[in-house]
Amino acid sequence: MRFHYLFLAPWIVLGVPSRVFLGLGTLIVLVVVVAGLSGMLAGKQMLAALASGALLVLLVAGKIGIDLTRAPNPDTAVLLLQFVTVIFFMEASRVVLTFDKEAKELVGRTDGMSQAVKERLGKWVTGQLGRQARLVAGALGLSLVLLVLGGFTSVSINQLSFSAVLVLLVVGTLLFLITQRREPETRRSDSLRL
Amino acid sequence: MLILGLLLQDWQLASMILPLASLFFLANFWGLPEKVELVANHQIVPSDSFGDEDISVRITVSNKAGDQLGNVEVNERLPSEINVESGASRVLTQLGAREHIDLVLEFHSPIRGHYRIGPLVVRVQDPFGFYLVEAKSEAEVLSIMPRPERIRGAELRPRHLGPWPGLIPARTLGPGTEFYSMRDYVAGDDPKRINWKASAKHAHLIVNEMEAERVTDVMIVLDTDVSFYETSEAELFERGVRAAASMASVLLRQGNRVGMILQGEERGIVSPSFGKRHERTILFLLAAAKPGRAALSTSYVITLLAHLMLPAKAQIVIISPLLDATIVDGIRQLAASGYSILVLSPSPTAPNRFESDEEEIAYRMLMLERSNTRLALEQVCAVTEWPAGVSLSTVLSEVKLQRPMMRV
Repeated sequence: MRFHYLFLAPWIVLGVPSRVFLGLGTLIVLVVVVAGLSGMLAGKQMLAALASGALLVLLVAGKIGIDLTRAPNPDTAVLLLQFVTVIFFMEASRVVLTFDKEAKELVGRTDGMSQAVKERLGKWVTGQLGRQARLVAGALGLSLVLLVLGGFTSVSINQLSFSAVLVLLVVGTLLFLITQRREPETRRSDSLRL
Repeated sequence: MLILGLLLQDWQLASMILPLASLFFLANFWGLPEKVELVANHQIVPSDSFGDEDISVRITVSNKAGDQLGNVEVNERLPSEINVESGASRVLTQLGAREHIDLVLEFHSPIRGHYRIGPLVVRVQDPFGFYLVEAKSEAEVLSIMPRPERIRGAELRPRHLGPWPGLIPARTLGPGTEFYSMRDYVAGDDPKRINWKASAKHAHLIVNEMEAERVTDVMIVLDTDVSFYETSEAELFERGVRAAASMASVLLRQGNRVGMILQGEERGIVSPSFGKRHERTILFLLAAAKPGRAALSTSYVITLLAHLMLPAKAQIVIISPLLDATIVDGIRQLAASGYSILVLSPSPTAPNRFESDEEEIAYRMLMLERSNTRLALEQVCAVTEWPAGVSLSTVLSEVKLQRPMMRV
């Protein structure tokens, strides 16, 4: 989990024709890997997040570069897989670094209470990573299914009205998902009932 | 990405919005249960202490709903002065359906003061942190109070005395332990009180009479203005606080009504009263005492409050390093009003070395001014120096109780 930049960065950067990144692909890979590994090994969450963010930007920039240089398009499924993989590892590294930080504070404590907290922390990290993996896999599957369904309808993205409706639909759906079902914060005093 | 995709007419780029939207959707429906019902509480044990024991915070979190919560963060906010020794102030955990967890964290008692423990924050999130349900419980206060020293107490002689028996000589006849006078024996007198030597000399029975002992009203004033020399300031101030706690404790144990005035940057007042609970109230006030220069003059505050809160001719104990000469006027006024005043002055300790000659001269001038203040006060009340390293009991046992001639 700590060394995922070693395969993610080459997979994303070197999968794009080298002229898209002006022949600097290897250097970019090196920078991202060094930043990511330093962040993960030194426990610097900001550095790891920057490296993951850079991978996302490189993925999108690579795709834009392919469009502009009229290079052959990559496989859509692979593109989506790369995208969700980066998101998964970005979140997973955050979980792992949080685990490291909390575990570090408990190092050397052998009392029962600290041991119990350690045990809970171990179960938490395993559960978090498992649930994140399931959600990402589900999101990938759902996206592919939606793409296949979209393919059946054969609607052209060039139609202006369709594009506008698509944008409105996505924005509306996201707003609904973000604001509905959950109150942002519930405050009670002393005894809490959420 | 959608806009970029539309601009570049690249459906692959536009389609990258799908995993994000799907992730939001799935995190909402799978990541967090529809109904989250938690009950969380925290308790500090003990909630007040004299600083010589470990403090524990007991946290209980219960999941009352029938769904598992995978990402629960329990965060007890602690002041920076507190270092957790066992357990943890932040716990990341899962909570099963209807599960109840007890968490305990322990730390050594911090130094004197009031500390806000909490608020206890419980956060439940989906695995990606898109959705959050947060709740906060009220912070509780941990009070570390100064421990009163066991002292014998000073021999106070105020003119005002209460009606109840106590330890202060009342200059009248009554039950007590000190000899007062002799008189002829009358029928019904306790034979144990017969003074056999005097009876033999006068050839008839003579009995001893004792001086009544009563309680009084005492106001302790702690002057927290110790702006002096940075390195010695804290020690000087803490000595004053300890003295105030010890005096209040011993005077209350003797049955007196005792009040407290904190005079400095932070002010506080406790009206005179009796009993153990009242001692706790005074110690609670002292726990919050901090050194600092007063906005209102000490003279003004003590004269005003003494007249408001104390009966005439009662006892006032002023604990002050006497670094501010303006206190003299106030004490003169109080003495003129008939109050009995005892000034206990913790002596500043000379610094081991001075940074410069100017600093040394400044120190000597300050000490000279302090001596002048002390001399001025000795004209109107009893003043006792308390050097560092000498026990408070010793200092108080040497209090001179002469009634000075007042030249106000």
